[in-house]
Amino acid sequence: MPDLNSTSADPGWPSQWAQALLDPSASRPAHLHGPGSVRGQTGLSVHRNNVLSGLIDVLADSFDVVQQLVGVEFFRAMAAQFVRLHPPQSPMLHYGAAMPAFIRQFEPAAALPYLADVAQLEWCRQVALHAADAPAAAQRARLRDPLDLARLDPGLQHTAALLHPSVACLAADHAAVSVWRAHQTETPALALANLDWQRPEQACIWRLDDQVLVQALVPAELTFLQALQAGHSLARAEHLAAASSTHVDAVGLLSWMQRQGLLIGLMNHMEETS
Amino acid sequence: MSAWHGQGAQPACGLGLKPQHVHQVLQERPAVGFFEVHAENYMVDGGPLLRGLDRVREHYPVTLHGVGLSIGGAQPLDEAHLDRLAGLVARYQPMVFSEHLAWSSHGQTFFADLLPLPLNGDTLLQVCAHIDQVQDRLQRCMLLENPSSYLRLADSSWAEADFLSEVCRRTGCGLLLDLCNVQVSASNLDFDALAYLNALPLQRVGQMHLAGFATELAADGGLLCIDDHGSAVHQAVWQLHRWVCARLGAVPTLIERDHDIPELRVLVAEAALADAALGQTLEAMQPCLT
Repeated sequence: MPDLNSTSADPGWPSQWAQALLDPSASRPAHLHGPGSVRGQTGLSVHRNNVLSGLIDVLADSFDVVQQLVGVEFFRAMAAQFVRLHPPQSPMLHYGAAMPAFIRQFEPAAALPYLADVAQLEWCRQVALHAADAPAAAQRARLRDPLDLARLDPGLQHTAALLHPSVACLAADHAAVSVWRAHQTETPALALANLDWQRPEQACIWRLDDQVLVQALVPAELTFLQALQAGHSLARAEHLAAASSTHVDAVGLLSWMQRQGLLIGLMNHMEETS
Repeated sequence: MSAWHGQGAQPACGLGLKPQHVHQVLQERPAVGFFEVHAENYMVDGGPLLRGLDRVREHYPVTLHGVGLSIGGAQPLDEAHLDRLAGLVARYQPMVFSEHLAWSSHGQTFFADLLPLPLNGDTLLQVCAHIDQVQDRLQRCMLLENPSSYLRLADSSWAEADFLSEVCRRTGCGLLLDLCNVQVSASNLDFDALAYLNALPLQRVGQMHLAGFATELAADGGLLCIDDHGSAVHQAVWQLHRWVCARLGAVPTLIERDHDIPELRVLVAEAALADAALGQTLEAMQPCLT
C-alpha cells in the first residue's frame, strides 16, 4: 500500500479518509456525523464505490481485450486489487501503466500466461494514442518530399532515424499479438483455435493519422527498430539486427517505416566506435 | 482581480463533449451553445483527443471543467497540475474554467472522486488561498461548483451556502451552480433546496449544471440519492432550474452526462429543452424590462 500518512500540515481528516477509501477494513473517519451513524456509513460507501468503480472503469477501457479474455467479473475483481495496491499517483486520468506487471504476478491469472503480454500491448496502444504529435515540419516534409532512401546506402553510417514520438516496441514471451488481433475480429474463438500460445511474438505500435496501428515483426526487425529508437546509426542498427538473427533489408524496412509514418526524418549521426 | 461578472457569452445551453461524438459534432454542427470538457482528460502530449477539441473549438465556445485540482484539500495545490491547466486555458481559451468545492488528492495519491471537506474557519482560509492561487495563475476568475453530499461531517461549523457565499466574497470567484447536486444533497442531508438557493449569492452564478441522479435504499431504510450523471435530467432538477431562471434570467446551462451516454441527438434535444426554459424566462421577464 502507498504511504497515505505523510503530508505536511495534515489536519488528520484527509489521512483517515485516504485509508478508509482504499481499505475496506479500515475504520471510518472519526468526523463522520454521529458515532455509528448508519447514514454516515452509507455515505462513506458511496465514496468508496465512486473511487473503486470509477478507476476500474478507466482500466476496463484501456484493457478491453484483457477483460474479454478473463470475463468482466474476474477483471473487475483483479482491477480492484490493482487499484488498492497502485492507486493513481497523478490527477491525469491515463492510469494503468503498472497493470501489465501486476497481472504478471497475479496468481489467479497464472493459467493465462499470455495475459500480461496482451496487457502490455494494450498499454502501448494507450501510450501511442496520446503521445506527442510529430513536429509539423516533419509532417509536411513526409507528404511533400519523401526521403530518397535508394540513395542512402553509402551514408548509412552517418545517418540516424527520427522516429514518430508514438513508436513503441513490444517483445512478448507469448503470442500476445495474435491473441490481441483475434479479438479485433467478430469471432475471436475461431481465430484463436489453432494458435500456439507459447510462441514469442514481436510488434511495433504507433499512431498514423489518428489511428493506432499494430504491426507484427520478426525478431531482427524489432532489434533494428529498437536500435534506431536508442539513437544508433542506420548502419549500427543493421549490424545489431543481423547479429541477432537473419539478414535484415534495412533500406526496405526504412522505406516501409516511412510509408507508414514511423520514420519521419533522417539526421546526421556521428557513429559511436564499436 | 475583479469579481466574477460573466463573460458576455450568449446564454445558451451546452453539452459535455464525448470523444465518440466529436466526428458527428463536426459533421452536423448541432445547435448547441458550447461544449464542456473535463480538463484532466485532455492533459496528454498529443493525438486525436487534442486535435478533435481544436476542431470543435473552431466552431463552438468551450468550457473547461477541472476534476483533479483538489481545491478543498489540506495540502498545497499541485503546481505542475496548475501549469497543465494554464496550458489548456492558453490553447482553448475557454469561456469558463470551473472546479469543485471538494478534494481528490492526498499525498501523491489521486482518488478520482470529489470528496467532502469539513466546512469551518480553517478550511475557509485554505479554500480561499487555493482559489486565489488558481485565479492568479490562470489570470482569470474561476467558477466554484457546489458539491453533492452523502454525509455530514462533525467538524463542519458553516452551512454550505454561507461557506460558498463567503468564498465568493473573499476571492471574487463565481459559482457553478449544479442543481442536481443541490437536489441530491437536499434529499440526502434533509434540507430545503429552495432555502439553500435563497442563501446563495445567485448573481454570482456563471453557469449551471443539470443532470439525472440514481436512487437506492440506504441501510437505515431511507432513500439515498447518488449523483451519477447516468440518466436524463430529473424532473426535480428541471423544477429547480425554472425557479433559478425566473430569478436570474438566462444563465449558460450544461446538460451533464458521463455514464450510459446516449446518441448525440438525444443530448441535443435535452439541451434544447433547457434552452426553451431560458427562453420562457426571458419572455416572462420582458414586461419588467420595458
